Amino acid sequence: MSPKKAKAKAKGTTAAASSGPASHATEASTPATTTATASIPASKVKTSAAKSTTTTTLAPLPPIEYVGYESEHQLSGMMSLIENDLSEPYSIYTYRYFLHQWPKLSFLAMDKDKGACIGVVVCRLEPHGRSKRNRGYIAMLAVSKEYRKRKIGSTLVLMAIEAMKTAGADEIVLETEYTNQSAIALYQQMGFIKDKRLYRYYLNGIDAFRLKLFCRPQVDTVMDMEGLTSQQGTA
Amino acid sequence: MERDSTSHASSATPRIAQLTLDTGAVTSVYPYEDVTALLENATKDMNVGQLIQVESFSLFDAMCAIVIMDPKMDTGMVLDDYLTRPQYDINRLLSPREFIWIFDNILVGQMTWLSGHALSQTLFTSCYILRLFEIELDEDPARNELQDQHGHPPQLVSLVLKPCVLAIAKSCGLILEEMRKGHVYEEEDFMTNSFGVSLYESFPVASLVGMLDQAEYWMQSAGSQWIQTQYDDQEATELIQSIKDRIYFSRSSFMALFQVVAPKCLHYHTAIGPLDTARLHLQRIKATQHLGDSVDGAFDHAVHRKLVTNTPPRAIALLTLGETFDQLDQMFTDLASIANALQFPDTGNLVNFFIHFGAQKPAPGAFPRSILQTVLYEDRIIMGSRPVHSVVRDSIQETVAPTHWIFEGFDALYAKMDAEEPSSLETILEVAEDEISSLKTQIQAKAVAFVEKAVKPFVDTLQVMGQNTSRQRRNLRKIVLLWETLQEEAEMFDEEIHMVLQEIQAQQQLQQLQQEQQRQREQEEAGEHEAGQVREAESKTDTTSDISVQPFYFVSWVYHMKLWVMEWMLLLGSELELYSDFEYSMVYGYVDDLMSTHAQHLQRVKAVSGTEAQGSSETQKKKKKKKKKVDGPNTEADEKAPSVRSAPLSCDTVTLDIAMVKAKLARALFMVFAALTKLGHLSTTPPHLASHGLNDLETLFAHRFKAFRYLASPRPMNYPTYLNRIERDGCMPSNALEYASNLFDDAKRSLDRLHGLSVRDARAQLCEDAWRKDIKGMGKVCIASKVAIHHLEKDARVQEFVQWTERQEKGKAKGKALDPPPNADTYKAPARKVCLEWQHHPWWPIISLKP
Repeated sequence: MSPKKAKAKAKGTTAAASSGPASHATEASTPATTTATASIPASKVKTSAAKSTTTTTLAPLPPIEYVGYESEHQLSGMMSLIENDLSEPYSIYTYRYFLHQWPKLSFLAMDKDKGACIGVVVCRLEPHGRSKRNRGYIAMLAVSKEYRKRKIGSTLVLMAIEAMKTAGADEIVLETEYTNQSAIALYQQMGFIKDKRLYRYYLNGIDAFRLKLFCRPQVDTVMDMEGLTSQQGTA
Repeated sequence: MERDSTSHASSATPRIAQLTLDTGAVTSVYPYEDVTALLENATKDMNVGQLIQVESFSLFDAMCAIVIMDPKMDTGMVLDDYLTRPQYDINRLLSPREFIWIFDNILVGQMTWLSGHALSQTLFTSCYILRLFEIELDEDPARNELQDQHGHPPQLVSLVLKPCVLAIAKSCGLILEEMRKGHVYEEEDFMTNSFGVSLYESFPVASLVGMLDQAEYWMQSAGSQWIQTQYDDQEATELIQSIKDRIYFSRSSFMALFQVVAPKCLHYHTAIGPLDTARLHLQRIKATQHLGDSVDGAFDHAVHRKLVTNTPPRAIALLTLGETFDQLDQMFTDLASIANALQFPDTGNLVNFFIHFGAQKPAPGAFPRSILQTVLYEDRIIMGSRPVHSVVRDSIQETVAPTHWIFEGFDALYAKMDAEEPSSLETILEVAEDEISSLKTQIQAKAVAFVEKAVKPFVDTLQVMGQNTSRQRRNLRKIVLLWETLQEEAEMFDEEIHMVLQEIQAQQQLQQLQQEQQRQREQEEAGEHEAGQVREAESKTDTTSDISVQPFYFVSWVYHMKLWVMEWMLLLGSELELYSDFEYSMVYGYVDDLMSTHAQHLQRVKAVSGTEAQGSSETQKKKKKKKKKVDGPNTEADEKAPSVRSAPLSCDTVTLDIAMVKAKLARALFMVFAALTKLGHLSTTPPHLASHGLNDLETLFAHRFKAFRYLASPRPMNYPTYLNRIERDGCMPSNALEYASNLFDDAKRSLDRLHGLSVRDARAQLCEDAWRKDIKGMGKVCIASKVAIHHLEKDARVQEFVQWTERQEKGKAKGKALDPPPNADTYKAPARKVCLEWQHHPWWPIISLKP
């Protein structure tokens, strides 16, 4: 058995290595796992990104503690949580890609009693396109099944949004399955709009919506025809 | 025949070896060394959280990376249970029922692959596809050691199954060749990775056909006899016919695809027969699918472990047999419809065909979409039948009908310019006999050059319809810009035409003056005063008809195309479910703006071309009369106008009618949205938007329509304009609803008229069913919307507003102070949720309020 050099599935990954007219570079990203937040209504929770720990107690359920990502010691818990929701595992390098470059943009929800990671959001923030607008990206979101319907997902997303806005995000994007009405409704309540539909984006052949949130008024910068000429074949 | 098979079998040995797991020691030319211990030692000096990363290590690299020897990640890892299981015996004898099951499930693999999955998880799971030439059965049952206890004849495998599977494999090879042209998106629409495994592309077609003939002969003779001895009459008849149908299907589907993918559409038209035959046999196969008996091990769903895959296997769901047959049938239907469109009667019909092909539901598969794009434009030929420049010329001609001399001698001039590749037009222009002719020739040459520039936007626009709908919308943003750029060229060209027309006019006036002076002299001499008056009147009429019109021919055509693309792009957003509830009023406000602009534009075009046609017709009549009376040189060439002119109904009339219908629909919908906004059921500023992120609707508005932002025309609608419009149009909700209802009525009447047109008049000869369905769908939207409005008018808030209006009128009469109108905060009745339904048309919703 020899190691096989992977050519990553273009869904949610950059396809820079693709060649030929059929190739299409999609935006470097990973599919967000949005199942966790299904059917959770909009939340008004305000969480400061700088203050990375907020405690919400919903008796009689176990108390949840929200913490920022701090070290690789948290990684295995995060990975096992996310892998439970994915048919295809991410390699550890994918997690490290995000966590080492943008550690302040990832948050965990912990069961205080068990000390277990039961929710996680992983994000990225970097200039995007010709306009070089700061684009935040919610790459992964997962909440353990037993802890759903407690606004944990929406709280994590809001923490991430606040953190990215504080770090200078002009806009925030993510992808979700186009059939996942409850997740879409959740994000729409937060102000996201459906920006694009991505055909057969997921490995199971389901389309995705790319959702976008504008973090600041940008009438002028939106008008720069961002990407219209540079995004040949991009999402 | 046997020699062919044998020779191929021998050449297939490495292929088999390649696909056979080899667990023995592999001698590599590379000096592999296990560095695990070295790395572990090296990392002992690092703290937790430290990472050594090359700067260029991207997310792509991260996602490409696999964890070696992790069974979930490492697809090349040979698992113990995989190693120990027995290999499927490819020479296993089969019963007729097992043959049916294997054949049908290979089709499942083929169609699932065609629907966008990897070969390694679909077609290649069939042991017969991968190891076909390992079939080495002695066809004499008496000497066949492998003959099983049931006495199944080996010929069913070696003479029947083998060529059938080979035909499917080679069909897939043809498809793969087409898909590698790159018209559709890799991994999104289709996966072309064949893992280095051939699909018997080099196996001669003639040999395959011979093998299929032999299979058919065997089934008609010995095969049938054997089955009849083994089964009762009815069952035997059913099984014999089922196997024959599968042979026939294999042959007809392969031959159809072979002709479809032939270069330059040389044989595509001959594919219609085999496509129809394939569909016929497919229906019979579908009806007999239940006869199959499963065969353990014939499909290896872990075969990807033998193939060089680069990502972990993905969980996929194979199509069901029913889905497979339906989708194959749809594929053959789509391919046949393309074949029928090859000899398109005119550009209007061609464009309509593309529109309706791209808008089909369910959407055509990736393969027919790729074929559509291939045949659309190859070697500067459209649909394998007409040069692209003449198609674009006809599109302009059909839409704006420029004055007849502009395209005179177009093809000859095009050929000349194409052959000489002149750096300047002057080099190819012959010296004309007079100045006017010279000017006209220059314009004609520039028309050729313009058409050449229009080829790209025109072809690209049609090609978009071969993309999936998500891509269509995104690519249309770029297409709009192409038309915008061409519009600038068109404007300059039209200006030049105007200058020439003025020059012609001046020259004609001068000539007429000279002629008049000459005639006066002659009259004085001959006393023919009366005849002179007649000629004078005629010449004045001629001059007037030329002077009165200075239309923008080319810019009109470009503008028409651009508006069409813009509307299409916005309405595709509805089809793709991109818009939130609060955005629909913005979108349909913009669509309303575009549609009314488009309809007005086409009305102007029609008015101008009508005037010209009338002028031209009168001039022609007079010239004919003159010609009869006077023998003399005619500077105006009498070349035939393009054939479309003889069509019973001009193309622009139908285009205009449809544009006006859509303008009415868009207007009506916007009026309903405006009324609902005024009533507080809809909000242009939903409160949740201000809560976390976006709190600036102007940004959102600008973002939604950013593709149009820098267009010179039509002038982009801005956010304040939209707000003004929605406030103005909805200020009296009941009036707005009544107006919308009337618009739906008008639109319905127009749609009824359109539905009554012949397909020839409608330019829908290539897509009649789809065109009529579209018109019918819009008609249903009109009817359902009228009913919905009737219910809306009974809404409590509408009544509240009506009562307020009546109070104001009474108060006004009595001189009392006016109350402020009710608003979202002051209505007594509760707000209701707005409901949009799209069951009749993907672009035009029916708006109602939930109870």
